[in-house]
Amino acid sequence: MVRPCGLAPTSLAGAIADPPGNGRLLTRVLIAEDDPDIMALIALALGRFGGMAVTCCADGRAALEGVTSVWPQLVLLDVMMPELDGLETLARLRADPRTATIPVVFLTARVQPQDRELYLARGALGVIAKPFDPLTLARQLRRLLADGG
Amino acid sequence: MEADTFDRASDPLAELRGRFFERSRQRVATLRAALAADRPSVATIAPLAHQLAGSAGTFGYAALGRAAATLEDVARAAGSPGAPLDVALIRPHLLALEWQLARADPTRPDPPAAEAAAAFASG
Repeated sequence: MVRPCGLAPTSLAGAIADPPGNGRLLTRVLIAEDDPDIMALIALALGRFGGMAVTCCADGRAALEGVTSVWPQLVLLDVMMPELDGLETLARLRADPRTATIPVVFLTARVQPQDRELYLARGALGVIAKPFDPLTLARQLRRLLADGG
Repeated sequence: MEADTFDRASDPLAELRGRFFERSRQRVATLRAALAADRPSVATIAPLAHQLAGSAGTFGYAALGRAAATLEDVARAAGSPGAPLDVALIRPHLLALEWQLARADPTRPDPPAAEAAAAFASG
């Protein structure tokens, strides 16, 4: 299922301290996360505090549908998901010329160094570990985009 | 209001934490049922424990997250996803997880979740 989620951006406070470069312009994000509680927290963190428009998808298959309808500037993917996991979703995004260059960041619990290397080798822009700090999540994404975009 | 307790009416994360606790109780009940039926497998136990490990820490309950992570580690170390698990091996770690869930207070998360709630409330 693909749906807009979280609150409409009500504050750009998160952007004030953001790094210069492309990351500062990050306003449209698509999330794929199968845990509804984490999904809601991310939507709040990015939407209300980060000033972003957030689209929520419950799995990788929904994310692939959502990407070509909302054209996000960045995709945030959980790794372990039903239907289509994060790595396979990334592979399909990269295989489609229309979506091949959309930056992808993984959000995953208990990531090991070798996992991080694998995700980056497959084309992820970055990896954020759970538990994450909702207060700084928007800033982390903008930093990754500024550094790697 | 105590200094380290949030006013639920002004804490935008209170509702999310409430849902998180409700879902965590459901997940633990599912784990308990799997053990009671004497048919736990890695595929049953590890994903539930993994989800709890990731979400508990993010919502500010580090000890609960660590208990879930330990349960996931023990389950995964025991074999392939379809392999049956030794109930005696899993039970102590599930009890530890249940204890951490019982003692966690939905109104008193640890930092940085507490800082985030305060920032959301003021932002």
